[in-house]
Amino acid sequence: MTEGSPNDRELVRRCLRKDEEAWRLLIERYHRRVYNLCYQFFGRAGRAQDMTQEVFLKLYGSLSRFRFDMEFANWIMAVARNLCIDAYRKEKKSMFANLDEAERVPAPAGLSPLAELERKDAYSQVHDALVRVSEDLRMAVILRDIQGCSYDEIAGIAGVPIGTVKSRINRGRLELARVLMGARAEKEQGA
Amino acid sequence: MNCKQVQDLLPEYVDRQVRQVFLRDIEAHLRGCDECSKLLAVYRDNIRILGAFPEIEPPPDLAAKIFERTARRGLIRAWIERYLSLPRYILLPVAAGLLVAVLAPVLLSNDAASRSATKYAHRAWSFTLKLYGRAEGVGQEMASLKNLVFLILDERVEELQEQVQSYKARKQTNEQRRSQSSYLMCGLDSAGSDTQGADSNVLRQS
Repeated sequence: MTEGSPNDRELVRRCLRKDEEAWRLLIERYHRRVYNLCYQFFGRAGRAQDMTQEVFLKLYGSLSRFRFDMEFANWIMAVARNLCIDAYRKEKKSMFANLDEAERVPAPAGLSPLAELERKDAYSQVHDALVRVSEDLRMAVILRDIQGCSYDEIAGIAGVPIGTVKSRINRGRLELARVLMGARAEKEQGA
Repeated sequence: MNCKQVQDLLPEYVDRQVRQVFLRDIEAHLRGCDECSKLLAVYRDNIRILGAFPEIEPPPDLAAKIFERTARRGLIRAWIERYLSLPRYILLPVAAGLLVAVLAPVLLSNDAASRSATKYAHRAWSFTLKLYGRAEGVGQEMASLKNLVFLILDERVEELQEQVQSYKARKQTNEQRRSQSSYLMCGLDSAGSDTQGADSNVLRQS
């Protein structure tokens, strides 16, 4: 948020008075973060795009229920989290068999070609393993380790006590490490 | 300590929150266990890699698409809310007027009766418009009704086209199957009649 731009609560109030420009500003402000969360959770660009739209549609329909004593950012992330987990549970069996090469996590710019390749491979391996971790644990790891949310924020987003958040993050990280080790062992055996 | 106990305590160990009594046992186990020390290395690596995950750039038109979809839904919802908030006594003459206006010329073949019915339908309609005009402003209502219909059509038209295509394809397949099966049946019938003919010839000969 730049200096002088209206805060989220003000924008929500304006949205409730049917101010389209306020709604456009909220979309501009949060669509990138929601898209990244969906992408990190599903591992597919197309799915992330659809889910981001669903999140904002859901949000638009329930703006009047926003509690002004909470952070709007946490609320939108809570909506995104719940929708992602619900959608994942519905489609569990058919998804994540194989991620397309083109849809894998890109490496950051500014690296030498070899380093970029290595880094890209490391990101892809971790991301492939991440989408195989069970949904609640995966979401906790994404929010903590990728999105950089605090334990308090995650507790607010997931609607669970801080103790549960810590436990989920720990179990998620451990499951991720185990999945990754299993995948590497399989690869070595295959080679 | 065995591998499972150590692995369960790894997160606390990495965060330096493991109880002092376990610390020495865990470290001793890690020194002697290749699998657990590998798991610890992967665990630490993952946290580092996840922390440096690059932000993904969303498609450039995503924000505009979201805005368009929500604006469309907002229009539909606003119209429905306004429609539902109108008193029922206003809606009843609208329905009656529309029904008479549409059905009278179709049902009544007698010209005089038809003219009379149409006249009353127009009066009912005008009366309704007056009521609407007092209540909400009918011009606005009608415009938003038209918008609503077009918006719904816009959303549904592709879906309907797909349904029509799949219906045509199904119909074609069914027709092909039917013609194949009737062809086969004809073949069987003719084969059956041949056999019957042969049987009757045998009987005749005997």
